[in-house]
Amino acid sequence: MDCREVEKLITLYIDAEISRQDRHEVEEHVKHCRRCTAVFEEAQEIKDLVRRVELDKAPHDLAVLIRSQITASAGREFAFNLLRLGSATAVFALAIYGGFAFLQGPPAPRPGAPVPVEVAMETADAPQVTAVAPVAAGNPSRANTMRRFSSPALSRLKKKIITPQVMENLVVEHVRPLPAEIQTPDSDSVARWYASKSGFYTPPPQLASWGGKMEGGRMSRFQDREAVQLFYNVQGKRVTVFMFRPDMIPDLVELNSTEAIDKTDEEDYISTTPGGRMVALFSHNGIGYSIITDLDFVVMRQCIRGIATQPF
Amino acid sequence: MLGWKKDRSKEFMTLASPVMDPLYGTAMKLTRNEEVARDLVQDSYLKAFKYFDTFERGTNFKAWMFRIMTRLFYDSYNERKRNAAMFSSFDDVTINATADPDSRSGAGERRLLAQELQQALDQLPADFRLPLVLCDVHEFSYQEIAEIMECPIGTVMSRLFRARKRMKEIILNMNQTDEATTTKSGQIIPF
Repeated sequence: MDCREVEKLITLYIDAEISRQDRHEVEEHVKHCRRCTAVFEEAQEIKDLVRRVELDKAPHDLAVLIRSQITASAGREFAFNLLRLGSATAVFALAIYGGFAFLQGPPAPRPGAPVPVEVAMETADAPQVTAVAPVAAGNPSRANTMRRFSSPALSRLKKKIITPQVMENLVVEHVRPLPAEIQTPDSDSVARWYASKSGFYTPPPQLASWGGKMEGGRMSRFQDREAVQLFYNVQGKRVTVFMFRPDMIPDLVELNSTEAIDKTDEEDYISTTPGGRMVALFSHNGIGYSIITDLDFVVMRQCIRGIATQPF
Repeated sequence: MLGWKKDRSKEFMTLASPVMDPLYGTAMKLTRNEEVARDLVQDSYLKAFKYFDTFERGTNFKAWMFRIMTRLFYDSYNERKRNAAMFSSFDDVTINATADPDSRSGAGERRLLAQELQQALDQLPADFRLPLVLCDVHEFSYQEIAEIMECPIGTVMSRLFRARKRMKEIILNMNQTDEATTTKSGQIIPF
């Protein structure tokens, strides 16, 4: 084995990827060749140096953001699969009912019961076509089985109140550079202002504990109804809070304490937009709140806790 | 169904959480830009979760995640390269070292500071930097690196060989610059 061959194998040697036979030959060669010994030592030295390189660690907020996005993504997949399963089940069920009805033939009408026009016509001409509807209707136990199967899952879907449409509307309002009707960092003045306009006699959310500053507010609309829109500056970025009547949105999660927060699945009141913004929707003390922020999950959680722990 | 959803994301996060630091560290080394590295890692996680069902259980999850990130990096690099020079080019690194390859001055003759080592590594083109980090820092095998980078093992070997050679040249160049600076600063400058 000459120096040229050995030089090529040195990389494999120091990376422990060399075959036993080649290893032996490289070792024998290096023993007697000063030049190859130097090449070997330098390669080993470079490897040891690179090993010492300290890589940056993932920032905490990135880990939190990714976790929330995975959860949101899992939710979307779940809904999609559910719809797919639901439609597949419906088709399957209809096929079964249809097949069963076809074998059974049309049901005999109860004595004295009025015969539906379609059935009367179809029994005379083409009984197999019309059998589906009467059997399904006439077999409530089977129809209920279907309803029972889908109802918990559907009610769960209904609970997903932060729909893409709601999110889009909120984000549009959040990013639009609309002028504030009242511009002051004094939350008491802002509270007096919106109490006169909206009838909400509750202090505005306090975000000061983590560097948030009230900037002002304006009367706005949420789901085509009147709402108070408050602007905050948290860590140099805007946080928008909407206050609205909670009856505008059914199934709004009620967060009246930290215990309520801990007990409730975050997916039911926080969502992430495709652009990475966080949106929360919940009620507290008889008022509906929506928070939109460009900041991360940690800030969103703090904002929600700040509101949920406000005294009644 | 709900259980399935939670189990799947839970299983994914159990496997994926320990990989986040190595993945982000490598993304930083690849992109040399915090914002781009964040995006790259985020996109890699979302993509990995989307295709989690295709991950063969029992195989190397870390390598699988690295493969996804590497592919995304190269795809986005190619895309961004067309629009703007977001990343420093793979080919734009000129090594000015005129080091004698037979020189006996060892690469680590002067003890390198951690920062200098980072700089030296950053000077390597990404095509060389990546296999070096994968091999020496993360200790992936050649086979795994070949799968991550989607190239033949022979390419991995030659890139590692050339990467180390270039690292040596860069470090030698640093040593020479440093010696020159020392001489200059050692001179007594009259007031």
